[in-house]
Amino acid sequence: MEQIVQIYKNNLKKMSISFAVYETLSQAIIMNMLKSNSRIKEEEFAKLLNVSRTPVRESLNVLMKRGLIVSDIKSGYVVKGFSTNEANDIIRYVKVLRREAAGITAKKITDEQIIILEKNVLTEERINVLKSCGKKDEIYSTFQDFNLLVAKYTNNKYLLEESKRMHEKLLLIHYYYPENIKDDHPADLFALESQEVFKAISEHDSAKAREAVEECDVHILNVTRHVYNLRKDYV
Amino acid sequence: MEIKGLFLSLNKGNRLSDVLYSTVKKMIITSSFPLGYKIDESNLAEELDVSSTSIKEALKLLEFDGYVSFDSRIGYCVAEINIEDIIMLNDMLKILTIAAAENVNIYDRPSLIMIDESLKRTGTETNFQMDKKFHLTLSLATKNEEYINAMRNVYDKLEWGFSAFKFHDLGDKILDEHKIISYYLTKHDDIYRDNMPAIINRHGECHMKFILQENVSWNK
Repeated sequence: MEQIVQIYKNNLKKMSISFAVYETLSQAIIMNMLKSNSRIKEEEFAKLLNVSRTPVRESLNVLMKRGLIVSDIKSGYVVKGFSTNEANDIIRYVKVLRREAAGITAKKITDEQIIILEKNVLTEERINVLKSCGKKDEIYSTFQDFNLLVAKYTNNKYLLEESKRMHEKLLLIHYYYPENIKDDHPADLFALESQEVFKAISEHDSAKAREAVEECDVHILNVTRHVYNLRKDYV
Repeated sequence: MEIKGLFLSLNKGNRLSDVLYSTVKKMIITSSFPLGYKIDESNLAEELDVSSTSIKEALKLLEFDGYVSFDSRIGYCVAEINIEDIIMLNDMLKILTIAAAENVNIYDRPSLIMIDESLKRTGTETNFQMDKKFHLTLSLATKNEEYINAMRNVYDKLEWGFSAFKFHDLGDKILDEHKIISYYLTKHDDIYRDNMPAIINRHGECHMKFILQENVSWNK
């Protein structure tokens, strides 16, 4: 809770109260300070951040729209948890977004953009560096950054917004199924995918870029499914 | 469109903020509130007999969805949508349709029947409504909530764009292509499935051609 107040104070330096409240709540969820299935009480947060209830309620409404929290008649607002079905739906949709973005970007990308994209490819060296300084979690976020950059270069803002929104949800899923991100984290598969996709995009080969996502993702799907099934068995 | 009647027709046991959200959104996507229109919260609150706080809550959500924009001097206004947006949305529509078609379970007969039914005109629907019905049914058949929501959002925005630029109704050719897509789905054959992306790509281009044509006539 202390951490959340600190985030709020930092946000307040940059933005208006209502926007800072919103940013704080969304950061707290995305950074897993407010865990899945935990309750969020309007009054409690208003008191904690020393603001009126209106900006808190407005923020909660928007977060609900973003699919990060759900309203529950009994307990008010709850941070979203995911059934295996929901998780699979999201993973499937993210794959489609990634695949199509890679296909479009391969056709449109400029030489300057290729140079920037290359710097964001998840290479083995990069993974080793991240692992050796204990930043295993960053492997995944590096992979996400690469994907969002590919989405950005489609020049389609709707596709980019949708990708961002879905990547947030994917993060929540990873928190919800922690085995996935901690131990069975398929770093090599992420690396393989980003390298293959980059190669195809830099050759302006749209079909190959789509295929690369499709092929590598099959493995990721298998890994995640396997993890979900394990979890289902022992819960 | 008259807002009070719309509000009353939607106000059936749902949460007030949801009803207000849908009401104002409908006013915007039908261009009853034109682009740039200043939304007067207190007037609206009075007219619909609700608090201005709940109006503000609805407007916040609409701002997040890109239907209105907020300026500290002016307040809430209907946001801008332009032809580039419509083209981008059309690309999204194509992506979602390809995804939906490949995720429909071809052994799920009720879903396939549902898709086939959506091709039939039941009343006086416009071609745009027919188009929307087909694409939405296709995404419903995947049973994937994410596809369904995304498809809904894209169509709401497209409807907004079409009405803002006073586009004519879609041509019959687009609806004919739906029949081909539906026919291909029912074939339990790899050749048909492999050709599906190409068919839908062509369909997307058909949509695009319509948009570009309408844009030219609108500019005149």
